[in-house]
Amino acid sequence: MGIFDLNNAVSDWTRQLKNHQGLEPGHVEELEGNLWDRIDDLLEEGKSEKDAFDIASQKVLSSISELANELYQVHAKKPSKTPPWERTASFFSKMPSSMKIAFRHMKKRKAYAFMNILGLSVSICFSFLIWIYVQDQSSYDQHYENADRIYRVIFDVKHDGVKVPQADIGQPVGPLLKAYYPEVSEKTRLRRIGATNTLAYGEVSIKSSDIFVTDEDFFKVFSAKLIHGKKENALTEPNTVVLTETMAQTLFGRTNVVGEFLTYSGVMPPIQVKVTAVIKDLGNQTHLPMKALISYSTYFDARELNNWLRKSYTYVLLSEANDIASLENQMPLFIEHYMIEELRRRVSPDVKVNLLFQKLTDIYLADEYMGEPYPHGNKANLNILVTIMFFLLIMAAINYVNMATATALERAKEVSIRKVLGSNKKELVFKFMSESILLALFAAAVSLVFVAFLLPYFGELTGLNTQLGVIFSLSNLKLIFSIGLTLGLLAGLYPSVYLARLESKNGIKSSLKRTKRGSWLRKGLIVFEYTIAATLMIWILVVGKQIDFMKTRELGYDKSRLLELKLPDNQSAMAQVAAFLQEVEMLPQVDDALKNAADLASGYGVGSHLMKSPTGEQVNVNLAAISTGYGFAETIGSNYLHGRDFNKNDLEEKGVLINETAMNMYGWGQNPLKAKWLQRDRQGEVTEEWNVVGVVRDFKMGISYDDVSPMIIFLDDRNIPENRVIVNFDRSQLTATVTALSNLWAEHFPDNIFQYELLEDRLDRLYAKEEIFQKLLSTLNIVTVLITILGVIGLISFTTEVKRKEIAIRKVNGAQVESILRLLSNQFLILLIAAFIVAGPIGYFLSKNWLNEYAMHVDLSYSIFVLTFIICLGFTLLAVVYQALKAANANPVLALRDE
Amino acid sequence: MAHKSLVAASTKPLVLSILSHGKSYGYQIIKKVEELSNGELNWTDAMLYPVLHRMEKEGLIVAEWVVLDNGRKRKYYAITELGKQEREASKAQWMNVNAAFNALWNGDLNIELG
Repeated sequence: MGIFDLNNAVSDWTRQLKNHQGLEPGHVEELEGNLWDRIDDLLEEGKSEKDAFDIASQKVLSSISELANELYQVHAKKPSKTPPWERTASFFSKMPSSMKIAFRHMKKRKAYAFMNILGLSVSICFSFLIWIYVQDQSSYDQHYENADRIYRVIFDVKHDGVKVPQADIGQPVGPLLKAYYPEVSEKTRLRRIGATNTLAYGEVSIKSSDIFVTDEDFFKVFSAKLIHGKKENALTEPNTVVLTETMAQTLFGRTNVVGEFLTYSGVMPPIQVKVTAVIKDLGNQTHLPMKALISYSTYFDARELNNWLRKSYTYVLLSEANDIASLENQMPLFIEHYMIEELRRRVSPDVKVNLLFQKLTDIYLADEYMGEPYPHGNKANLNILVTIMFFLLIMAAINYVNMATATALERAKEVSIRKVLGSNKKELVFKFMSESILLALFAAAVSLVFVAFLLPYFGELTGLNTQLGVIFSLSNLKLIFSIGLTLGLLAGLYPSVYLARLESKNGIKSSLKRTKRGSWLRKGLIVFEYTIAATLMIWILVVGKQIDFMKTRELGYDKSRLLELKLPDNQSAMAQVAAFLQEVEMLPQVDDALKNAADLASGYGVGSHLMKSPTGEQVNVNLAAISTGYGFAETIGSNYLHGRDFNKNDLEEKGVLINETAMNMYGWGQNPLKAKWLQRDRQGEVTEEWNVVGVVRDFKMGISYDDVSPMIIFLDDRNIPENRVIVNFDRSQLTATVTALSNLWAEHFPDNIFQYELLEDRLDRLYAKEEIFQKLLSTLNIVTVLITILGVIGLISFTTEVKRKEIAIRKVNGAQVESILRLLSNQFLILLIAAFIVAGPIGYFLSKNWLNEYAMHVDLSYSIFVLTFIICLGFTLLAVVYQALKAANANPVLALRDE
Repeated sequence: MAHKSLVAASTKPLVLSILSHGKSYGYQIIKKVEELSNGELNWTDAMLYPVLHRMEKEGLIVAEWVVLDNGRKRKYYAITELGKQEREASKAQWMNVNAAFNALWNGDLNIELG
């Protein structure tokens, strides 16, 4: 221990005091004086220097924090109860200091922070919404146990140059697969009988297309939670039904309804069915959202096992080994053994068949085959959305990079000073990174608000049925914040390195040359943003044009003049149909009316028919077959190129109609009325010859964007509910027509509700998918445009700042506001043109690709590109003009006096 | 030791009264008070300095730094006009209290109670 030095001891003591929070220099000096006074006193009393110091300092220092607090109370402007250093640490004070600085920086440049946060949060919000949608769409059917081992058996038949992929397959396939292949451990089959069925209990009746006839082994393949009843015997007996919870609730108001009876009407007369089980709803996320299962034996007996003509959706559950490849390899033999002969006989001698297995979880996003029970989702669209999602995030990151490097000038001084004070590059990079991460995380939090706000609209747009509570699950929140974090990291990386690398000596004397390289980068990034926004815009305009084209394409009949009525579905009312129709035709607004079995809004698949050509040889022809009542061509507004309609007065007539396309396709233009259709029995033997009595001018059924199929038209004038009434009326008198029709209806069918539908509406609904896609794309385009605008604003505000002096000098020398405006907006025009050089071809390629899905589509015209350019130019000018005007109108003296 | 509340109440008048005799500094004030009270009033620095600062803020006293011969600095306090008024006011109050106690404790007083 060294010799005690009083002066040193006192100055140590003073330093200690200075470090104490709340004591200011004046206070410390006063206390130091006080200490000396005490020491002097003690020395006089004869104490040694060390003892004197110890006693005196102890006296003063023992109550140091009390003293500091008291002094704080005296001097604070707003004395709160406790001084800041005594308060429990706030969230803000606990943040790492780099975060604190980041926060302060944001507070200082509010507009900059606002634009960044807005851009980031909008892009996070929409990316998240897209992600939720994509997730929803791609996780169909995954909730079933063993979903990875369940496959649907499908097949495609090729013959005479046509390929018909079928979603359903002959009845015996399922049982045969199960019986002879060890790879298959279970099978089940389902069918929909008729388009809609009705289940009724007392007053309540539910008409639904979600009622299926189901094999008794359904639950062996598809797991379902039973609420009441037993899986094992639920579907074994004929005339039994399994209801979903919702269905039971709607019908009975309760779920314990096992043993109750319901009235079921499908295609046969109504029957009583017994409820054997109630299951939990199968949910929305399945390609088979069934609501009720009728037992298979209600409709089919053992003989059906050999009925290759009756098809059903067939699902198999593979054994644990899940060896789908081995099973697929054996299918050619299976086809050879069981199927080919039958198909050769029935379809065509050169038929080729392929049996395929489609994984359960893949079905919803797969292509739609013929006879799909429900429409599918669209994988291509999902891929497009995911791509856009990534672009959105990249664009937001670009904006951040742009704005962060644009403010480099301002930060340069800070960087220089920090470097002078000894910060190294690593610390600076870390500091700027923490800034961008903080910003991005904050934006992620803001995006939650956006999501909550936009979710209902988004749900409406996409049909996504998700509750906010489900959306904000822990894992989704984690996702949002990890998107934020990733974005912060990615966006922050370049600016942080860029800022940290600024030379300190240049920094203090802020020089503009240094930012030259950065300015190319900024411009390049803006061009990139423009490109994305413009590409999307081109695409959307093309989609819109195509939808318009599909809706307005000449169909061979005037769809706006057609109205459909559903006939009542009870037998007694049927007797009235003829009288009703007669009166309908007499209405002044109505041109024509008929019963029609064909649905103009659906496409009919082409099947193989045997015909005799006008020259007398037998030919296999591929024709779509429809059935209609008398006067079909007249009613829809088509006409006969040759011949006439079915003869109303000859009930025994064996006649068919063909359409123009069929006539031309087979070269029967010379005398088509000599062609004959050959009726065959079940063994394929020709039993009767039917005359072609007329050739109808082409009309397009179903979707409008492909070619008219060759068609054969049979007569079906029965009074059955499936036959709708088509009314051709004067569209300008819609209300009057509907009123008149409903009055007539009430007269003839007093017990049945009057329901009508305009054919045009139903046809337009065929393009619902395209319209959803269009809406989604438009929404996302608005978002990309918004982000681009933010980017443009960021760049223009940077440019105006850099050019402040230039503008000032120009103004001093007499430049007009307009010329300065031009100076500033010119560079954006160049950027925009550069973007279009890229966006044009990409947009062209993407739209072309999209259009190729449609057999008939619009041509890509220059006008779309020009329009897109004008729109982009418009929003650019809007963004630029305000900033530019501000710069151009600023007082030049202020700019020149700076520094 | 004097009671805490008594110390609190008497600090200000005592400081004002001491400073009426001339300017002084923290340690000297503490010493003087200790002497006058026969060691009963043992003020701490933590108690006195905040009081001095508050009084200075209230304008009752003013402070000035004085550099001593040995180079040290010392902060001297002096009473102001406002301080004198304050002292007179509190003097009257303390006298009243004092008079009351004197009358009670002299022994020849007879008070009719209850």
